[in-house]
Amino acid sequence: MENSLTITKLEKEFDDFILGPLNLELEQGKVTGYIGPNGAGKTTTMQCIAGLIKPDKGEIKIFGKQNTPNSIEWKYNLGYVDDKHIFYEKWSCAQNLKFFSQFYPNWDWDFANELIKRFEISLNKKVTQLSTGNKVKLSIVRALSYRPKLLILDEPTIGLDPIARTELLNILFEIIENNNNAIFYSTHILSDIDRLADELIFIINGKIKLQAPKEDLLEKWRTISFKAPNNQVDLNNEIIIQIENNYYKIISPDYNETLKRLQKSEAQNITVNRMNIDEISVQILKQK
Amino acid sequence: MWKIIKTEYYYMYNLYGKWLLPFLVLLILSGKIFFDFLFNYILIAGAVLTLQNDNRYYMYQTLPIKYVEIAYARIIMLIINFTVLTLLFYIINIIVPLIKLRLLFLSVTSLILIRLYTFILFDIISGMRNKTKKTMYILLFAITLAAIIFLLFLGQNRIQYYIIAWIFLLTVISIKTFKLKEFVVVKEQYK
Repeated sequence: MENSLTITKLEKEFDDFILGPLNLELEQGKVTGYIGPNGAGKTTTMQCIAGLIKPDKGEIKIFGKQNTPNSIEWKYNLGYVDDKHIFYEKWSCAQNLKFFSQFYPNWDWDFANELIKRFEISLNKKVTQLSTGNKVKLSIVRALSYRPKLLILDEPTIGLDPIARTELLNILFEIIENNNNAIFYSTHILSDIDRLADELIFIINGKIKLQAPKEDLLEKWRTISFKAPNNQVDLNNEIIIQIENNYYKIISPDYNETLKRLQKSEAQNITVNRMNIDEISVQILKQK
Repeated sequence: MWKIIKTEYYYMYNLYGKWLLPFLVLLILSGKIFFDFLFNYILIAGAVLTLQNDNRYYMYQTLPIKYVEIAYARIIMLIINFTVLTLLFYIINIIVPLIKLRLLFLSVTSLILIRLYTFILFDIISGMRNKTKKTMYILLFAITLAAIIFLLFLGQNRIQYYIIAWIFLLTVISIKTFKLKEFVVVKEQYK
């Protein structure tokens, strides 16, 4: 199957920050979470993909087409939503959508109207009168109405309260699931993507720390508590949380492998607990 | 490219259109001396309009439009604005000498001008991202606005009008030129 997005050796240098070199491949129909702390390079990556900034080196292909600034075909397959939500402020939502529709031959008004209804957007309201939440919704309608196959979401829900965010994401992901889009979702709010991400990419200081299927992470990462009578345990990649009177609490990125070593070390009272994506992500991001 | 130009003008018409007709009528009725001053400011407003809003420039980049077309659209709008305004100047210049100066019209016109000016100011500044540039513009506009008010009600010195108007106009044009130059550099990099 053709990749929806292929990034090869992408590099972008600023005065105080260097992104990359990044290599990424996104499969069609999959939701990929792009996770990292503030300033990790998430937005820079997204803006390079959307052609809003020019990378210093490397190549970005969207469904096999390179995202050069003087060609437009690749943009028909790309839906882009960030936290800016820019429109003609003094125009109504309807006027704005009409403006955007001119640029997309495959703009689907039936689908747009369905989304408008679903999001309960008042078409006659001027954009300047919309709340932040409604502006986000309008941005999403704009990005989805021409049915792009790849959706880039760069922290679109920033500034929304948790209830509005959850409500919006529920609708958004429901729509996306039904349409088999590939989604590249950047966030530092882990709960946003926990439910639907198939794959997770962790970025720290402009470098990809880890890329793995979510299920793999959930399957392998565990917290393990045990007693080591002689304080002699063989630990490699494990993260030690606590040691008290020969009692250890550790986090293992591959618990089967850790258990084998613990058994060899004659550890006692071994207890293994599952971790959720929030906990796993925090541990990955902590390892700078 | 033409879609951008058409939309930008239509949007500007939506924003400022209702002020335009009374403004022009009062402009003519205000008389020639005052008109010389006003013309400079219309010219400035034209230059400012073609600077466009940075946010909308960013929005255009997200659309399936070739970047080079966005640059051309901006250049074409700059040319259109100056051509139309210059033509307007010559046409009105023929009519105006026939009308005597009316102080009442002068005051009302200046109020409309200031209103129009703040509209434009708000649209441009609200779209700016660069904080230094934003501060610079706000200062520039504030000083100019203060100068307009001062000269309108206290000064009435034609030479002073000209000096302030043209300094401001040149500043705006130089910023615009810099922006275009910056764009050409980026465009070259992409080749």
